[in-house]
Amino acid sequence: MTKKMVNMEFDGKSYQVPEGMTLVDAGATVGVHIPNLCHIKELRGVGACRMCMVEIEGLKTPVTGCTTRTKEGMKVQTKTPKVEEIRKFVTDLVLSFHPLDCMTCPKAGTCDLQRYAADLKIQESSFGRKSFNYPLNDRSPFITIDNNYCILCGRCVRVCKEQNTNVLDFMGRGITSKVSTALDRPLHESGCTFCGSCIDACPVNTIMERDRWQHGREWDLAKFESVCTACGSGCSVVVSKKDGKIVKVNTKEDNGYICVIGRFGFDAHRSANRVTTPLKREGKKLVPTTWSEALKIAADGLKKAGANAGFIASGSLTNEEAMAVQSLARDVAGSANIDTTTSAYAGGLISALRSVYGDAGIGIASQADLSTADAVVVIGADPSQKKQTMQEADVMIRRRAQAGAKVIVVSTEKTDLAHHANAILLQLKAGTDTALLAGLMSAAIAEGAVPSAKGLDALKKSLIAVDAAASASGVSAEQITLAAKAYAAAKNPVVVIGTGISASEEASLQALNLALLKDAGVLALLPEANALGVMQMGCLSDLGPGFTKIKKTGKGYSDMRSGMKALFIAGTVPDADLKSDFLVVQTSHLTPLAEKADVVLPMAALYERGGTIVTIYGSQKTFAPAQDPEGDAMDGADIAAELSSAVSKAKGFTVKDVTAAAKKAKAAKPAAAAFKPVAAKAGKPVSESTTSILMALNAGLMAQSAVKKVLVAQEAVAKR
Amino acid sequence: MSKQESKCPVNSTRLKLAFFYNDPSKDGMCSKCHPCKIGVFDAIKIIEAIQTGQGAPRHVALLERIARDVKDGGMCKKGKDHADILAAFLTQHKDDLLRHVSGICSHRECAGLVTYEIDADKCTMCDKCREVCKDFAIEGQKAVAFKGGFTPYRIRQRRCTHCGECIKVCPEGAVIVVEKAREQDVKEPVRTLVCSCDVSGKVTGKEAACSIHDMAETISPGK
Repeated sequence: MTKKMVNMEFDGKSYQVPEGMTLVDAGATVGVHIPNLCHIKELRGVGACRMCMVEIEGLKTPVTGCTTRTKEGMKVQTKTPKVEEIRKFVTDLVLSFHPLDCMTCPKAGTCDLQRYAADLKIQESSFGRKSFNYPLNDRSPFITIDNNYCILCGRCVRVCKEQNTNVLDFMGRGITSKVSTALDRPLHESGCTFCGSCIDACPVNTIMERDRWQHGREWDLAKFESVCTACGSGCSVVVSKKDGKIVKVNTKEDNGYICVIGRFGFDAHRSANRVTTPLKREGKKLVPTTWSEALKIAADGLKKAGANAGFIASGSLTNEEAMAVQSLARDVAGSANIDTTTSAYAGGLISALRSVYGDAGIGIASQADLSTADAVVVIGADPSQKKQTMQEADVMIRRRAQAGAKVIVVSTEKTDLAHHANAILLQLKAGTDTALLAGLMSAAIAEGAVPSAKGLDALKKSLIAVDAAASASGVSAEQITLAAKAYAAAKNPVVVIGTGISASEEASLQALNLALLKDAGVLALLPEANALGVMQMGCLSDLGPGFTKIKKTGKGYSDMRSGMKALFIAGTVPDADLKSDFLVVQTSHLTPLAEKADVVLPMAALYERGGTIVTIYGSQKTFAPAQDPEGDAMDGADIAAELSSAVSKAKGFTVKDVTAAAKKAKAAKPAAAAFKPVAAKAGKPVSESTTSILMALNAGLMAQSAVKKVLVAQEAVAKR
Repeated sequence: MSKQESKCPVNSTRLKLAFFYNDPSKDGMCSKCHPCKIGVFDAIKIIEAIQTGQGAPRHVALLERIARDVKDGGMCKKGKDHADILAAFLTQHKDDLLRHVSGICSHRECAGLVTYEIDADKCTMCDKCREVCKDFAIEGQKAVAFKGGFTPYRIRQRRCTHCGECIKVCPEGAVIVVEKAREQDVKEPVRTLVCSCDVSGKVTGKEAACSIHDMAETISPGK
């Protein structure tokens, strides 16, 4: 949905801006900068710093641009003498207690205060110099807080509250107030998840990366845009490097979010368990070898197995890498046994999507737009800051909830999202999802939900009354009706399906029916970075590139688990107990599975990779590697291409072929959706924990990283 | 407003602002917006500086700026009201403020601008003030009947903190507050005439008036 545009004037020039946006944000969309120290894009403005004061025609006094919303015909003056004087006054006051350490400050160059002081031509404060001599708070890992530099804008406090970490707050009042944790404890003892959103929010250098000091000034850093592939959110990041070493990682968007792995996990590039050279098995040990030898052993093993060889593409491979594995399996090795890890925990959801939307419908899971949602139904998912799972989705849902959207949580336990004031929790007995959703749908139809999809009559027959659903699922009937009312009233609802139900086809179908009832967007919270893209590239046992039909159907993931002649695993998989006579693992870090392998091929890790991925939101992101791979490691597509020529000289392919094929493998338009009625009865509870899947997926990456140590320390504190 | 009453407008304005700033109750400052929370703090500090005799003409301009911009840029009515209090003080008692800047508190309240002294004519040497002085700033000997030769009572200015306890306790009103004439910050350089003769060393006017040139002549090897 596009927002309604309105005509308004900034400084006498007319512009078209979205309606109901704050003036600061609206100005930014058309290139008019309104100075501000405390505003964060798309967060509710508080009007604390008073730097964004503007004068509006018809209003007597200046108003703050961060709390005033755009309206048709508004005439805004951003540079009148009166507001300029207020800005100068505020900057002058702030400079009176901010140390003028710009000569050595690591933030110099991107510091907001520095910029405005220069813009407003203030050299030194005309007010008395004040200093508080706060001790530097460097007791926590990753993040330091130096309150001496704090300008009390409160961005960090608000960004922390917004995403429900609630770690930072102001202590004291007046000018002596101080950003601090509860009881001034170190961050890791006060429930901090070290997402570092406060670092990005801080306009000065109060909150900084711990090892930022003396590691390059802003203008020394080479910046590379990349994408974090540690989980399904696929956050865009900016990697800053100095002398070939990564110094820091930030979000790309102003109000973006990245988690602790994305921001601080880059130390895993050089950790001890990193695979830098190809390894081959000699007796019980893995010993380093050369690429040519490793490829030869791997190729021989795969050739020997022939059609009995299995291929597993991890959901965190890029499109190009997945396409390379697919071609390697089907075209070169002549095996139909290829699958992705996503089938293991979201098999039910995949088949449900296929039966509702047709084969191409797997990609439909990405049509949801959380940014405009006014009701979010979260089924079987627990995106959470505290549990470190899919935090980015959690933040996005929370932002909508903060803006007034209702969040309906269908879960067996009280999740973190359910604690939000706008959340409606339907806490059901395990395995009763179909029954509860049937009751919810019948209530929503009674509330007046009119779907456009076919098959409503058949669906109505399968539905059960609210009371029946209530007794079956253990949720009170009033609560179901309340949720149904909120859902029926919504204009842009989104249904989020998590791994709690994605293994069960019935529950997934019922969730899709619920989405169809209001033509809602479906968002599958798959924990792997490129789960949708890998499937689109044809890494499924019965579908080829672009979800096309193939001649021969091979073994799926669960069949391959029990034992194969030879197994080629690209990327990290959550299982460590895959049985195979001959095992080739292509990985960046030595995982428990890789330790069992016959050949280990070193792959590029986190920010060393380049390619295209499709995030869970359906946006396609193309990114270049930000760093050269460590040691002899190579990009996954390169490895598969080399391996293909080692297996068969005639059929071998190059990276160019793969890239072209990956571009071509576009999903066709999904078929018109129709309801698929499901019997509303309690089924066998099948639930996969996203947390444990993510932990297993990132186990290799995290094992030796400092991130892991922090999380372990945190758990210890939580248990205490 | 403030519970302490004060006749000196400078002092009473400071007390009002400080009460607003420090009051932890609901009526106090919310400390949400920058102009109010830092501006009022700075205003208090500036007035404090003036009251301790460190005032300068630029402080008046700064106070005027704070009053105007907190009024324009503040968030709530409470903050703007206190900007109004400051502005009203600046318009109504400008002369008083300027007098304070030049070091005179005509209400004799601003401790930094006054000295306490003991009027020897009124003093009966009852020793009450010396007993009550917590800073041991008063010295003297209690008078005993039919004896003489007592040291008179006086206040040692270095020790006096202008707490006012001695004024309260004196039955005769002998402790008086005297405006302190402030020392000037920038002293005019004292111009002293070194020599009135011209560069050549010849004494032009009076004979042998120049000791420097006398010396030069004695040292000079040429002569």
